[in-house]
Amino acid sequence: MKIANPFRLLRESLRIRIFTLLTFLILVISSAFILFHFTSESSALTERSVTEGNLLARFLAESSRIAVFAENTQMIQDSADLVLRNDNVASVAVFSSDGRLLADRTKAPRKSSLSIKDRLPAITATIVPLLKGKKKTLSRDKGDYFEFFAPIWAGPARPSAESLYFDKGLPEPKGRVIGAVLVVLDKSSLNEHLHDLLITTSLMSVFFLVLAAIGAFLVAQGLTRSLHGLMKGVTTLEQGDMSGRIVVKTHDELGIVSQAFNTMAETLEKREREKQSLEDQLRTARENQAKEEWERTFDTVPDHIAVLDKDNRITRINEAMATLLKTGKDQATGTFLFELFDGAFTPPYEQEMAEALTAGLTYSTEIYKERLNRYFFVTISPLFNERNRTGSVYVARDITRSKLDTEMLRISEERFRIIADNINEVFWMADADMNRVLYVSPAYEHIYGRSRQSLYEKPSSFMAAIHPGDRDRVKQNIFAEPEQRESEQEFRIVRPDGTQRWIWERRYPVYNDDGKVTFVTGVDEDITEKRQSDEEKKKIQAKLVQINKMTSLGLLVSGLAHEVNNPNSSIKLAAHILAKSWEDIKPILEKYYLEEGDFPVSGQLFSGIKDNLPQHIASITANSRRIEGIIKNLRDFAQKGAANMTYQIDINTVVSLSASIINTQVKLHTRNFKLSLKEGLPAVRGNPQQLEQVIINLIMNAIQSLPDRERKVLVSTSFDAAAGTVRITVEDEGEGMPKEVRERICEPFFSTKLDKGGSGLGLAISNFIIKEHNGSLEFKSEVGWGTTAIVSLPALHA
Amino acid sequence: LVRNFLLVIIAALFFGATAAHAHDVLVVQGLRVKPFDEAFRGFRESCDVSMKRVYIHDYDGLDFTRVVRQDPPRLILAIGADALARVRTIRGIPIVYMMVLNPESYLHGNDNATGVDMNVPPEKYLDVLVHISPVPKTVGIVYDAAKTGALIRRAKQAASARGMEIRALSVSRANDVPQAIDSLKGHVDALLMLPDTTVVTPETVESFLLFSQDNNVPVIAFASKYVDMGALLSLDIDGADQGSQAGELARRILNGTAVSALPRAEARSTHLKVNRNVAKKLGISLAASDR
Repeated sequence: MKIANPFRLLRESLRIRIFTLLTFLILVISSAFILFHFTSESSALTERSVTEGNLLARFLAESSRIAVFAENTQMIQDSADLVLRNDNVASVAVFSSDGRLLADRTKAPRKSSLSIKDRLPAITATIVPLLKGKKKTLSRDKGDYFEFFAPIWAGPARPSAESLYFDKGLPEPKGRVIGAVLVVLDKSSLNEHLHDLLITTSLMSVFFLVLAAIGAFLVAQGLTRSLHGLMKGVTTLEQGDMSGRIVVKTHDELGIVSQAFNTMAETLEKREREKQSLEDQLRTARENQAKEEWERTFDTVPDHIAVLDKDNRITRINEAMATLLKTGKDQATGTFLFELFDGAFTPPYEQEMAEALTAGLTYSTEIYKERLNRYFFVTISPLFNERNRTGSVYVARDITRSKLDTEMLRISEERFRIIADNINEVFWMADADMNRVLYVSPAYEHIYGRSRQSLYEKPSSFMAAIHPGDRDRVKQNIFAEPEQRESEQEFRIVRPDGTQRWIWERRYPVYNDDGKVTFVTGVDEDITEKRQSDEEKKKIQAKLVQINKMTSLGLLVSGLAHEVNNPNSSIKLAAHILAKSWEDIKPILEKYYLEEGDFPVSGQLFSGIKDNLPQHIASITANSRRIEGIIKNLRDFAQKGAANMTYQIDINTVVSLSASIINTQVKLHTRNFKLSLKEGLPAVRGNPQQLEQVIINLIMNAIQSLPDRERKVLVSTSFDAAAGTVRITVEDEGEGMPKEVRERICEPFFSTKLDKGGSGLGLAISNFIIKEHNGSLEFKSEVGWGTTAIVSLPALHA
Repeated sequence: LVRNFLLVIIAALFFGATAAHAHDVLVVQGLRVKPFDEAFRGFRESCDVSMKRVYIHDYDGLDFTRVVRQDPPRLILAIGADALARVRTIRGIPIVYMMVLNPESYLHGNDNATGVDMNVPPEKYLDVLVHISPVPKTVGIVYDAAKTGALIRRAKQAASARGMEIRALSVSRANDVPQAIDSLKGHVDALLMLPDTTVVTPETVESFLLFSQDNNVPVIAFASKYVDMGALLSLDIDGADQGSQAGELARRILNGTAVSALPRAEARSTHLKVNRNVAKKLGISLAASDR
């Protein structure tokens, strides 16, 4: 054995490990103990020195109290010398209460650093807190020596009378400091002590360590020797030799362990034998069971399985295969699969299948067996022993049912697609949140003018297509809670080419079994044409209603004219006769009046009525004429269309003529009547008498609205080149009309002047005439500011 | 009937007025020390009237004169110098003091006060010294002329009457006392300590006693505590007797005697205390028994 590797020795030998451990433990303990001993001893020594110094300082303070009190230098020096006699005291000093040095004694053979006189200023500074009574004692370690200060206390400066007699029960007397002492302790003897202590403890530790090492070695040897035999026995057992036994020498714990070990080895040996036989039995049982289980599984599997040999002859088939092929399991052995499957004698081997098997790969395919009218999913996997292919496993799964289902689904989808693709309406499906378009039919591209792809990619592009005026309404509706969404709505869309279409959309939420909306379907129909024709229909209907109204009015007027005209003619004639009669009667009655005096006629005096009566008669005539005029107007209104509309008319001429006809009337109402006629207006086509009637009517209305004669009426003509119309404007500064009047002003029999003899027909007739001329009559009016009537007529030559 | 009723009211008023004097004597004590308590007990035994006892230190910071005026007694007893110092300004109520060392320094001719002081007459000390052997021929005294000058004069007279000599050294501050004592070395047979606050301090007491030790000279003290420390003997005042002495004065004042008619008294009775160990060491024998 070499001593070359101590670490290996340490690792492998328990004896050396125990020895090292014990030695190390003892080393640590002894070192700790010695360290602790030295530290505590040295600190105890230092503490003792300090205590001694403090005691000496206090002793000196106490013993020199009277001397200092009496300020007797000799007595002070005596006290100081008493203290100086102590071994370690190097020097002693006594100070007065004002810091003055009273005595200074130093042992003769001393270093100069211990001289007090040299360090006097520093010391004086140090004793100030002592002299002020703030500290009891003070000690300083100055390296080579210690300094101890103590104050000298005296009784109170002025004792009380009672204090002369008694001590007990008196208040604590306030002492005062009358000086301080300094005792300097030399450290050299302390240091000598410490040096000796260090050497002693070091020697002790070395001695103790050697003793401990020897002890540890003996202990380690004793322990490992008894273990040796045990080790040997265990090693034998470990190598599997159960017959090996340990020689028992002692009766200590190790002896008992060895005995137990021997017993254990015997038991183990016996158990091992029993276990071996049990395992053999179990293995045989398991092999049989596994085989049985495999057989059962093979026959229970619903898939049709055949095991083939290397030449693809059947070696075995399972129950399912046998049932399928209507053959016995044993009969099939040795035949080829294709013989049984197809009834063919030549193998219908697919090239790929053969190649895969040769390459040792698994091959799968779907095949249709015509003879059985069934689909199969076939998997052929090669079987190998250690080196070669020994055969293969053929597994056929009947997939006829799922195949048919898939086909049905395909047909159903195809039908849906055909319907969806061919309807004119847009059919769409979206998820419940309307965030994703699941399907949209091709009609979308035709109606919306956008690609279906763009909608799939960006469902929000649908919103962009909606007319801005309808967008908010549609958005609100679409993104409402599914249950709150209207199922149908109409809105406009704007196609990329700018054309507008009307869409009628119906929406249906689709619920799942839980009653939740899973997705939404809808149909968008283009109803633009339908809407247009509806509007036209409405217009025609309105016109028919108007015509009907007018026809009724015409019939009414014709009858009325006849009925009214006859009595009116009689009234007119009677009035005429009455007037003539009055002319003849008047001179006779005049003469009677002059001769006989005044007389009563119909409750009045003749002188009073003779001049008024002709006026009454004239009034009858005038009103009769007026009735005649109204009837004539009505008749004209009812017989419209009859007028000749073929004249080419210069509007300016018509306006001037009209103005001159009613000149007298105009002057009664205003002093500010103006005509402003634009030169070179294009001609219009129509009936001049009718247009005159319109203009007269408008001017009459204007002047009648004026509250006084200072207000203005302006009639002007102009040409609107953009619209291609000639315009006649009648502007007044009259009372104006509120909105509700302006809206109804062209209705027949509507008049604000019924009480002033208005018929309510003037503007109705005017409006009708202008319409007959394909023109328009508009009013702008504001209450208090006046009214403007604008007649626009299409120009003949623009 | 009405007259009877009025009489009842007048009687009630009269008794109410007498009841206003809650106590006859207000006892004002300076320190809570045993000798003062003993003195008070002596006072109470010889003058049994209603009294209220207060400690002056409980009234620190208060105007004591006003406190007394609120509930005026017929007489005030001051125990100790502190108490006397606080009550001396009260006029109209007679004041009796006791256990006061030098009352004159507080009263300065105040006619309203009388009492018993703590000074033991010097004759008494000398009478005791006559009974020890050897009888000291020369007695040293260190004193402050400002405080105990009068006593020294009386002592000198009494000494010469008894065939002794007094060697007195006057000092004006305590620091000079040790030196003064030292200078008596070889010249005196005994040292007499008198109650002088300049001369007697904790330091000087040591000087006295060290001198006694070093020179085999007995120290005669005025309080027993110095005997314990090493003096040969002391003549202690008797607190209870001081109390009864003051009680007699109080009783006479309460009975109508004018304060001015009652002279201030010195301590009447003393206790002698001897340290036999010291006597043995000094080789002194005592002829008389402790009295």
